[in-house]
Amino acid sequence: MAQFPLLSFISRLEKRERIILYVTAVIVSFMLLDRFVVSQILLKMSQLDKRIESQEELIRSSFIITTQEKRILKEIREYEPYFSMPESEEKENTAFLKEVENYAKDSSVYLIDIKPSGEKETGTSRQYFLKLEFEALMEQVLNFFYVIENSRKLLRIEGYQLSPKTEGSSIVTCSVSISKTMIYK
Amino acid sequence: MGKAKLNFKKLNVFSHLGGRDVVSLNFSGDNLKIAYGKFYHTRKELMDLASYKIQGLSAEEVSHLVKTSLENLKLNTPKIILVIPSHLAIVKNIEIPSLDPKEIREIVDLQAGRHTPYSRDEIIIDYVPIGTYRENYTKILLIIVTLNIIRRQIEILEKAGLTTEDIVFAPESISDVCLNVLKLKQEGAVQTIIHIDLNFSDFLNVANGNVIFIRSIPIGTQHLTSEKERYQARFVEEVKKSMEAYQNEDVDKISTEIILSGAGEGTLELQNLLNNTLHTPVRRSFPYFKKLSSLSEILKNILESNAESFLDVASALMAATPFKVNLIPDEIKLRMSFEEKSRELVKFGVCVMTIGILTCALFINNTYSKNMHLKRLKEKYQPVISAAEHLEEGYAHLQLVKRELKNRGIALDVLAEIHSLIPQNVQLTSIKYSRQGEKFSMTGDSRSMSIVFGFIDSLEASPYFKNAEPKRTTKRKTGNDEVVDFEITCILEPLLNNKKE
Repeated sequence: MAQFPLLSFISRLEKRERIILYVTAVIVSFMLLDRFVVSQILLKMSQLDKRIESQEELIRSSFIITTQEKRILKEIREYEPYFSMPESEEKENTAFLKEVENYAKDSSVYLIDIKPSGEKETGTSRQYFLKLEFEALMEQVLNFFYVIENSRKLLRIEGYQLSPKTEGSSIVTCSVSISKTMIYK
Repeated sequence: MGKAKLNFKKLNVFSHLGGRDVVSLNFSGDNLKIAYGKFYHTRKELMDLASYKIQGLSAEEVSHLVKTSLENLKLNTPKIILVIPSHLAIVKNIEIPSLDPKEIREIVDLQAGRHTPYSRDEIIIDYVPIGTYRENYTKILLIIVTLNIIRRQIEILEKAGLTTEDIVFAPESISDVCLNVLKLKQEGAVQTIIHIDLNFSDFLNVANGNVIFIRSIPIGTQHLTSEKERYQARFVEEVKKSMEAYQNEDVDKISTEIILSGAGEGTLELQNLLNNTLHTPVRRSFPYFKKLSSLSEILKNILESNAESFLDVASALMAATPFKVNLIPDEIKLRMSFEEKSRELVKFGVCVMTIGILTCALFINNTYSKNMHLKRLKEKYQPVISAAEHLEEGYAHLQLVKRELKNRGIALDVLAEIHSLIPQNVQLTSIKYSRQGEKFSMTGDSRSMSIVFGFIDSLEASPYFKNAEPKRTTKRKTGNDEVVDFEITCILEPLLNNKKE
């Protein structure tokens, strides 16, 4: 009897108590089995199913994208000049200043001041900013603006302030903020 | 020490692989008798018999002898059956006033003490139901054995490292084998089996497949061969007494035939003597010889001429029907029940584990297959995925360039729009444009307030401006004329729309 303490304990129980014990043991066993084995395995299998599903979806969408390859490459070639090769910040800033200075010269505006005013990194692109002050006739101002906004680089006028140099004067004093967006290949 | 009469090595034990080894032992007399058999699913086979002299040996020595004899057989966890002969039991034919087996058992339990000088705790009782009598009465053959005898024999076996699984009452097993092998099952007929052993003989009456009367005769082949004339006469007397006792008990009909069985030595003369003395036909028969198919002829001859009977131990193995008498003590029954339950529990556990392992194996196999499928998908389509990723990246850059280009030109367009909207009598002194915050403001002067508000209305109507409003309007005099200074602010709608997009 001493060799089987559990059986000895069970044998001392009444029939009703024994049934309750067995039912409890079965329920607890199933719960433990579910908690530590079945649910873990099912979770793992469901994760695998999801991974397979997403992989298949990725393959499907990849095939769809590759069917558009020619069209995308053609478009990329069209916009090729707007893409840049990555350079050091200093070089890119210098090139930007030089570019704007040249446009100012070409537009015959009288450049008073030009200076970089910061840069901004946005994931796949980088933006450089500069501020410049100049004096010019309204026609020249418009010409300068036109040249900037139609440049083969991604230059853009971020803001400006125009006011006559003196009351009644045809010369305009202009303060402009220009940005250059670098999108790398 | 006694001598071994059989050489176990001669037996080809390993030719019977697959069956369960079963050993029956009887060491109640002067000799230790062992029968070894194999139980297969469809048949039982008697493999060997042996006898050792144990007269005067201590319990430890008997244990050792049992142990060594079984070790020689190289058995694989054999089932051990202990055989209790009739001379160790008190046997009574009694009538019980009930037909319900459960009630009969209870009455037997209560009345057992009346038939023996021992208390109820000191005895093991069981019975063989013989038949109904006088409508509500059942005749039974009550068997009582003292617990001490059984315990002592179990202890001897335990010391030999053996666990007793069954305790068989020899007369019941002998009668069963005789009934089945000698085809004694005649409906309604009573037959007598006289089982002769070395020191004792059993007078057994059998009917309807049951032993119905037992009487132990304290004369065996040892006596019959030593003082032949004296003991033969006494033996005949004892047989007569047994027949009278049977008739007095009024158990059943009178026996129609007497069969001499057990030990073969000297029984031929006894058969003749009994035939001449009694008015019942007497014949000799040794049923177990027919079962010893695997033993050699020499061995059979040894057995036939033997002064000792092996029918008790052999029949304990070879009996065809389950025994009615169970002499296992309660504590052993309880232990066996626990062991059986624990075995069942282990079996159940093993089954559950097996199912669990198989299920896990299925899951693991499934998971492995899915993993392999995923790996294959990745490997096979990686070039396509990489190409698509490259194209996607290029396309994203392209979209960025397009968006940048779309946002250009607004600074100029706004100036052109102001130029087209500005009334003649309005002069601008400052224009402020800022992409950040989508703000546009201008200051200037005009001749009248209405012109300023008209200008504001036209700004509001323009697709380039929204929420145009005068931030400041002040009148001042210049000479005789009145001039209105103003500041207008508005939001640049294209920038706002682009931002929303």
